[in-house]
Amino acid sequence: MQNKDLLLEYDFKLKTEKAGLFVRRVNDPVFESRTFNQPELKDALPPYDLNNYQIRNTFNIKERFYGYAKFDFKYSDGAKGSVFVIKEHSPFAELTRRLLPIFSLILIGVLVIANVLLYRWITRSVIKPLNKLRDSAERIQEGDLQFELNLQSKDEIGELNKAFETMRQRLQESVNLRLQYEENRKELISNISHDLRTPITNIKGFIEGIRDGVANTPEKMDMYVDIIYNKTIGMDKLVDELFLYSKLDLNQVPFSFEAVDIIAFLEDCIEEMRYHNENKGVSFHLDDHNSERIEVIADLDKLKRVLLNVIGNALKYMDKPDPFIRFSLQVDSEWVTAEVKDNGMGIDAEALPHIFERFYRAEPSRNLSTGGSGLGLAIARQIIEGHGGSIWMESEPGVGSSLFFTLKRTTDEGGFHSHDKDSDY
Amino acid sequence: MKEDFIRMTRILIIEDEATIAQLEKDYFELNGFAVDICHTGSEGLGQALEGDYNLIIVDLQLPGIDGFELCRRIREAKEVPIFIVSAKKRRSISFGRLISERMIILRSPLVQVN
Repeated sequence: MQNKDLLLEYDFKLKTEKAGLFVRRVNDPVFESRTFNQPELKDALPPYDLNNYQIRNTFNIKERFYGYAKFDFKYSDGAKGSVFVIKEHSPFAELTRRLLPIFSLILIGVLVIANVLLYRWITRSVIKPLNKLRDSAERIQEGDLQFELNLQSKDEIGELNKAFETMRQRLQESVNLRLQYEENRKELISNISHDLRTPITNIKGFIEGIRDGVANTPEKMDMYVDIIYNKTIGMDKLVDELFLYSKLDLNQVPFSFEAVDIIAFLEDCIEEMRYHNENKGVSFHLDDHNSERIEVIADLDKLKRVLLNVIGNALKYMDKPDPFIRFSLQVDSEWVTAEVKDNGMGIDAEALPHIFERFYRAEPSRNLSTGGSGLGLAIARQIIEGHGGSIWMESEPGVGSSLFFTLKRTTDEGGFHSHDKDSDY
Repeated sequence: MKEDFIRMTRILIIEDEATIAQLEKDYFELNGFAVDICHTGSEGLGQALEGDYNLIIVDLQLPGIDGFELCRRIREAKEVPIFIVSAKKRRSISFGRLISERMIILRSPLVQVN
């Protein structure tokens, strides 16, 4: 230990490892490696400990970190001596080593927190929406469609929800439609039973009258039989119209569209009307038009039905001494609007929107005596709408009414044929 | 005596369905009653108040003034027996407004139910 050369030699060996040798006698350095050039090294080293309990440790002098291994011993003269092999560590490695447990703790902490957050995020964005979706599915299963799934997320689950919500809406629409149909059916049946009962009541009453001998003159008997006959005719017509209406309602009547010259068509209709209503004193008239021929796309038979129903309706409400029904046409590039104008009693404004509803009567009992089925205008509307046109009425109570309907014109570009293709409904 | 009573009995029928009114009239006339017919509520009200009738027959469903209103207005003016006639089923008519008035309810055409 006293041999300086030997120590130098060892120190030189250690230097290749970037370490240095330090020998202490009592408190004074006997040998100090030049590797470090650190004057405070002496003070930083640990005190003497004969038992060599702790032979490895680290220390730092300012920002520099050192690790050492030491051996404490006694010199032959009994003085306390220590040999240290000191190695300077890079501050980063030392720091890392010191901070490793903290890093580990932080890492574990971060992992735990991340896990919790991830779990919550999954719960919030995946599980909860899925639960909601399942609840919704269960509600639908139980037939409850009166709710809304409002989830805003934009991910796949959001899309799933959107699809589900759309499905719910569609389902609800179809349920509502079915309920509406059911409601319509019920109303129709109630209307039918009422409208059939009225003529039946009449027929029954007059037959009982004959049986009871009320028809005690031949004239009276004729009258009774006429009334019974007319009521059965009315019933027959009602059943026919109901059948037609019902079929139109279910789109079961095929339309066969063709190009129809509306002017010639109206002239024919007017001719026929004049013939059938000669004794009623009603004048029929078609306003003059510039063009000779205006073609529309129409199902001839059904359009005729519309005209008959519309005119029949107008005739029922005539109350002026010189009744007239006037037809006029208004033509634009795509549509022809036909007007059927009368000078009847007119219709109140609040009744106007309803007159195309089946069995609607502006005055509840009026039509019964005039013999209408209550379906004429409803059928007219179905037919015109089947043509893709619209039908409406304008009226001035006490003065008269105008019924309008529109029909599509034929076009040179083959519009007629393209229309014809989807005519089969 | 009975025949004199019948001949002196005048009946007003207020019924919008002409055929039904005619049938009712025929029945009464066959039995010797004098019968007038009105087809609307307002016409019927005027006739009922003006004329001297021993019995008024009113249909419930009338254009203009309905049967209930007509009865009320006639009763306000005079004490005359009124028959209410309706094609409706008895259950579907609310008689609450008529309970206090002594009335006979017939089912059209003239089939007495009560």
